[in-house]
Amino acid sequence: MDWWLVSLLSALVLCPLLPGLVNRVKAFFAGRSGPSLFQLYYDLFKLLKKGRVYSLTSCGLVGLSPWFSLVCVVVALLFMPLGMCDSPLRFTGDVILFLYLLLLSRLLMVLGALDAGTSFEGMGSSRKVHFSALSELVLLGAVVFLICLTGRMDLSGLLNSAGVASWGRYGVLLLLTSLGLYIVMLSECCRGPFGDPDTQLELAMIDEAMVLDYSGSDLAAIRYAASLKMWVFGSLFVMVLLPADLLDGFQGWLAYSSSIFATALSIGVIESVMARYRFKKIPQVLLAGFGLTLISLVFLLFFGGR
Amino acid sequence: MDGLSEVLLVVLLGLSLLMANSSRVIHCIRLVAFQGILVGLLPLAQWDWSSGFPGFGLLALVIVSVCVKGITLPLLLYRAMRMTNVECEFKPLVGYSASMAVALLVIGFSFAISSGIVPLSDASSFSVPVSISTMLLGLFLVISRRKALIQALGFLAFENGISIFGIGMSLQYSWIIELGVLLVIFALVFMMGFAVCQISREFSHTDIYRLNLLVDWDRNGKGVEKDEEVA
Amino acid sequence: MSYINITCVCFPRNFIKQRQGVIFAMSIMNIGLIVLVLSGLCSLALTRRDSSSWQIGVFGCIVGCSLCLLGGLWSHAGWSLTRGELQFRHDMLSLLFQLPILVLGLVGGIHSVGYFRDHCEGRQGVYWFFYNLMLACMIWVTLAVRPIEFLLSWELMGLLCAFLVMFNYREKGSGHLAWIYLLACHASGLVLQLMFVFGDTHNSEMLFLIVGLVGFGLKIGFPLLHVWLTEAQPAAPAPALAVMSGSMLNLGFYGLFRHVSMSGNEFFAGTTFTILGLVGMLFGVMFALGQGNLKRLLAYSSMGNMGIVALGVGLGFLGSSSDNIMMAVFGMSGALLHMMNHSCLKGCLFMGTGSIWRAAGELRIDRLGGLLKKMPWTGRFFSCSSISLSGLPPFNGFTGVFLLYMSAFHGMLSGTGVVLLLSVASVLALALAGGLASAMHAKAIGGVFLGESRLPGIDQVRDTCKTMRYALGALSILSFALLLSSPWLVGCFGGVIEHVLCLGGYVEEGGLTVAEVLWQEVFPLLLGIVVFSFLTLVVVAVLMFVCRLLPGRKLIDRKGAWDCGFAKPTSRMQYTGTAFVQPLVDYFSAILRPIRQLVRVEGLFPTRGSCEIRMEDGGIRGFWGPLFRLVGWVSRKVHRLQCGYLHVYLLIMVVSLFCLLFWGFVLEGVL
Repeated sequence: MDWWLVSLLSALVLCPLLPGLVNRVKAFFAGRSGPSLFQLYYDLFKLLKKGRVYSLTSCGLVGLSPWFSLVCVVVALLFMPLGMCDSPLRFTGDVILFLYLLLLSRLLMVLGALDAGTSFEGMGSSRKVHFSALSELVLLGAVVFLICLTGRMDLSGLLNSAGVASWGRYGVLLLLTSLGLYIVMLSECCRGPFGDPDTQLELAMIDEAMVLDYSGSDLAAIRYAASLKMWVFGSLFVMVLLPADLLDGFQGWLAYSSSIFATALSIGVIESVMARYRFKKIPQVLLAGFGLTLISLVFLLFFGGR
Repeated sequence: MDGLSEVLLVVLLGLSLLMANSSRVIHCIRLVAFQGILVGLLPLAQWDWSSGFPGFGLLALVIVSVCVKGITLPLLLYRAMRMTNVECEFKPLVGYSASMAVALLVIGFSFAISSGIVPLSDASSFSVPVSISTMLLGLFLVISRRKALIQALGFLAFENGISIFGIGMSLQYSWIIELGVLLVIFALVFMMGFAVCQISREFSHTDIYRLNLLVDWDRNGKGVEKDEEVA
Repeated sequence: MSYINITCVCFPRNFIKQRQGVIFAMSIMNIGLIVLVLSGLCSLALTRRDSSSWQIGVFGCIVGCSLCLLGGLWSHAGWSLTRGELQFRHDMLSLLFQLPILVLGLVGGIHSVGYFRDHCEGRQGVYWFFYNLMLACMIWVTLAVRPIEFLLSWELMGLLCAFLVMFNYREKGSGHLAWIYLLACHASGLVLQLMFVFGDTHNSEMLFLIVGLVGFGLKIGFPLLHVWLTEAQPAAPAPALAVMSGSMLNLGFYGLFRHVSMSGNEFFAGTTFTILGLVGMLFGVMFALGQGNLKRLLAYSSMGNMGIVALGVGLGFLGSSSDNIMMAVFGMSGALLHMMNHSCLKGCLFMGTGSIWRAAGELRIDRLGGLLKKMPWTGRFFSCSSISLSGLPPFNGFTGVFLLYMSAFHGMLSGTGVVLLLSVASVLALALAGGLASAMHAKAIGGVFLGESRLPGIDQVRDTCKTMRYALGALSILSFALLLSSPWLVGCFGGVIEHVLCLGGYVEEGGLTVAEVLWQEVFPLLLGIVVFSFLTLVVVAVLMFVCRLLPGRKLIDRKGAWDCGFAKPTSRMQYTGTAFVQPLVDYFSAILRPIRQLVRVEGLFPTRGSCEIRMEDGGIRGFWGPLFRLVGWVSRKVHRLQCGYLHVYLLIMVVSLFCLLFWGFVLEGVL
């Protein structure tokens, strides 16, 4: 349990490093030196000191929704088996609570965006809502597969009980499912081929369009929540891949954290190497991810000897 | 008295056949009146005279039948005929030779199906086919003739057929059924007599077929076709 | 037959001791019903004098509903009564379905007072007549025992609701809608009569079950039988619509539980309910996405939620047929809990629609906007109920859906074959429906309350009067109470679950009874969720407090958004509700078939251009429309017989007589 607390604290403290790492990798590929690794920390401190400007149309929801959304992500984090240790808050069925908390955080961001009352926000939220409906499908497909694999219904059990033995028997299936989860991570964080976090063109914005009218501490909450979401989705991907019973305690925490940073590295590589997908193609890719999880489920049920 | 009732029944059948062929209204009225008188006298013909004089009820029924069916109703229709100046049925829906053929078919049909009906006790087995054919021929008159008066006469013939059935089968309480149907037919023909005058006054003809103009649904939206009256 | 075998559920053991209390409670309930009916009649009699008619109406409504509630809750153990020729019976199953009727009726009555202020003068007495009588009739449906009384009350309830649907008869098209409503109503009654006949004469339980599903499905709003729910019912006035949508749809399930016995056919029932639930849930939420009218959006959402309840019932039956008691209990309790939550939340939403209509005069989402600033409390209650209905924590809509997920998980772990397949499909469909539902509610909240207003007369919009706000607030508080009390509420479902799933009685060794499952498995989970929700709200409050301490928090400036982007910004430049869901509607366009009317922009200095996207109901487009067209074509052919010629009519009669004679004498004689 101690290591879980350590992992939780490190998640909360270290998550702003992830975007910094991604930007450094992209700069490396582009032949630049790039922004500092700790740039998001500097930005957050600066923003927390600033005042806020609200749109005339807004009725105050703009000031509330980033914080509510952040709370949702933090509470969702509490249910995860961080550092390969079971969460102390686990109960049967908490995986549903986890997923719906993430859905709630997305909905609150969308509502906050619609409150600002310009067409950019509407655009961003409509795209966000479209893609997140499909990523829900992929996430639950992966959950269904893991439930059938492990026989447990809590998030800690799902992610933390597949040992080396499972890898030996179902390695390929776990790979396929984790690929689906990787696709969801890219889509939800609007990274890589699913979106361009650097752009400000309305053609390409999803999340960025939704936060165009935020400022000050609200914007700080949003950016911090975004990096925390990257940690959360990265953990989902990582914990499916890492075998549970191999690593414990300090080694577990080390392996877990370094895997997350390695994931951030891979995001940077993919962003540098691949061009952005057209928006029409993103649902197809998400459905492909869903297909991957379905394939692994079908193989497990029919040939896995369950 | 079996012989007399069978003779009566044969005559009645012949009258029905003649009715199918008649084109003049006065001729039809006379046939129906004669038919009514004969039907009224039928119970007397079927009565077993060896067991004594028939009771008061039967006599009353006979007298009432003869008066109403043989005299009153035909007179009423004659009056209506005079008032509306209807003489002939010029263009019936089913032509006269075809009517004859249909009448013969109907008689054959009724003889065929009456083999399934077994008459009770001492009634004549001849009454069933006669009654059914009279009923059907009466209905046929209603369907195939244009003039309202002929249709009323057809109803009267229909009622005569029912009476023959009831009397011929010697059903229990047949005279109650008989009186009930008589009442209905009386009311109907009574009303028809007056209605024909009204129709004539309103539309200047009594051709029921041309009353299709009163329909309120237009199939094609172009108006219903009118039928030509041959003078 | 089945309807005779229905036994009382949870009849008290120490009968004599509780007898007096039961009699008292019974009489209270009867008095409550009489008060409702009488007040309705008095209201009608005093229609001319508006002030007295609505006062009597609302007084009768409040007193009647409270008395019935009191009587019902006091005697939850059950009673039965024979008064003259009528028989009544009340038990836990009835009580479960009476609670939404009475509570929504009460709150709806309070809301109606505000809704009809300065509105529909001279007709308020008529409204209260139909409203109170409708409530009394719905209670009668839950109390009726014999088929004839049940059918009477069923038809009467439908008829009264039809009159309420026709209440705004002066609007264009309302006659057509009332016609659709009456058609569905009487079709339901007809099929139910058939069902009772089958129950009496035939031995085929399967046929009885199928006919019962069709008859009651017409009232629930199963897919293809839902057309009246989404086309016609939204025409009723908002408070009555809240009651109808929140409690009348449930009565379809009541009828199924009470009068259609499914023992022996559990697998078939489970599969049917599950498939109907999946289709209804997905289609309901997809069609709701594309609606432009707020009431129709909520009506399709009702259809989707009834699909969720049906899914839960189906999972329950599948569990019971495969001896998986965990799956069965989770499924059924999830269905019942979601039904309760839906009643409360949908009632609040529809009443909110009424408030919006009275305040803004407009119900098209694309013409509204920015109402949260003018109607803060209405907006807050509406938004909270809306988010809750998407099934999101920490609100009460999440609890029912959560139990359904658990049921499906249990099915996946222990099931084989069809059960496994349907459980997996349920999980995936619930996921998709959840995502789409949150999109739909974001459209509703965002389009109506947030952003810049598109209403021309926005400055005159004021928040509604206090009664309407109190009504909405009461329902929001009730939904919070439902959340907090859900663990204990689910425990009370034990008897009902046993009765419906035919699980009472034999328990195998090492197995659990229904009550044990409810209290040992479901209770801790729900308690955990309640605690978590409570804690979340506390954390949020703490966070808001802490945030005030941040240095930059006090400085707030207000500016126009993106002034430099547009030369002459108008409110029409925002994303409308239709635009918001356009990617999703296009993605599912094979199912939704949106009709797009496009006026292209032409020339260098464009003057006119518009794009309108409408959706026709899928049931009408795919099934009922073609069916009615076929029937019309056949009728036109047959109608030629009605040509106006007396001779033809007489000929038809004689021909039929001939045929009958032929059949009677010749065929029967031969055979």
